Amino acid sequence: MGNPFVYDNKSGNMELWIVKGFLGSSVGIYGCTWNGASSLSDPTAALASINDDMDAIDGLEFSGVQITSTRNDQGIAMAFGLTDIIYNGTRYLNLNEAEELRLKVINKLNTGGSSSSLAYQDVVISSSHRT
Amino acid sequence: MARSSLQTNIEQMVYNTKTWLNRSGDDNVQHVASEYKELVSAILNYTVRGASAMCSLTVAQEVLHLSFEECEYNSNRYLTSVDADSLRNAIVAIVNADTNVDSYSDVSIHNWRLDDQPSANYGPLSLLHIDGLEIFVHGVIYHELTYLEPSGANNIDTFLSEVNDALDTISGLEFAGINAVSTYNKSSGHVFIGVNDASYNGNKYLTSTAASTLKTLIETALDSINQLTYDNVQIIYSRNDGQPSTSYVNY
Repeated sequence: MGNPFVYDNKSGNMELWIVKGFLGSSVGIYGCTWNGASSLSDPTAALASINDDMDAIDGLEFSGVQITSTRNDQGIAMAFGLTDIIYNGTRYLNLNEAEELRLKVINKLNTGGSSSSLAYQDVVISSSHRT
Repeated sequence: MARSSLQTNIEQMVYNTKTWLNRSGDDNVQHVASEYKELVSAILNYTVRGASAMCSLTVAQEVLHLSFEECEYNSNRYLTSVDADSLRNAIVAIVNADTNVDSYSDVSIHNWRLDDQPSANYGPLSLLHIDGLEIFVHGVIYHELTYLEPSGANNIDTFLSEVNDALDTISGLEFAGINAVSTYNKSSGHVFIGVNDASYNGNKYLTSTAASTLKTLIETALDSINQLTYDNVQIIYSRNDGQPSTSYVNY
């Protein structure tokens, strides 16, 4: 069995599905489990905890946190997403800013209030510009 | 009247050795998006409402995609396979002729067709903006078609109607509308179904057990449709934390 989190449907994998199609920047936290579960009957506490951790990152603003669970033939996958992010006052990030933010998010996830409950595979930063 | 939307993509592009475009400099993101909007808009009878450049950074790689949204080709927003092939070839020729492009993985055509039901969402493009349940069926083959035509014996409206009727038989499942997406890329056609704004037994966010049950029920319903096969049924359920969130669906 491959990585259940990635589902290739010829238009991209789950990462791209989640971040694609909107203007601005986002943070995706992929391949997640929360207290060992990849599907939550009540995700309220997880959402609040992730929100608090991300709120503590210097320079990061965002409008909300979303949890998405996926079930298909390859298994269950769960991801958290921050939408409409602004980092250090900027919506479209340069590569060094994206790398800096990615490391900050990883550090906070590993040390913040969510760290004892959350396991994840990857953090993805996306930035989109539209004419 | 069913609604349609045409999107074309240049996927996994490397532009002047870059897979992440910066805000400034000769190859900045605004320049590349604008330049490509102008380039592809020059294709005869092809109009593009907007172009977007999206860069993603993961632990493994950076990925650059260019997308052209709300397009029309020969005044149509849902194409025949002949038109889709023609449009794809024209974009491929433009990319291949651009010496700034080092490589790209594919040019793809995505044709969305929604049924007449009201729908707040628009399939995968809206995944971060929904609070609820969506269902996708991937790898659909309908009467041996992997790209559904706007007319003909087994056209996309007939397909949508058949799927709608089959899913309506599932007790406890409610949904606002169905869309079907025909994708045309270098490999072949590819069809998937999206079911928007759904709920199951009154719930928009499911337990894994309920999701598993629903997945089985959907597979059974789809299996009742003559001449339809598919690769996989996918259940996606999302919840927001209640913070205000700007909608990006309407650019």
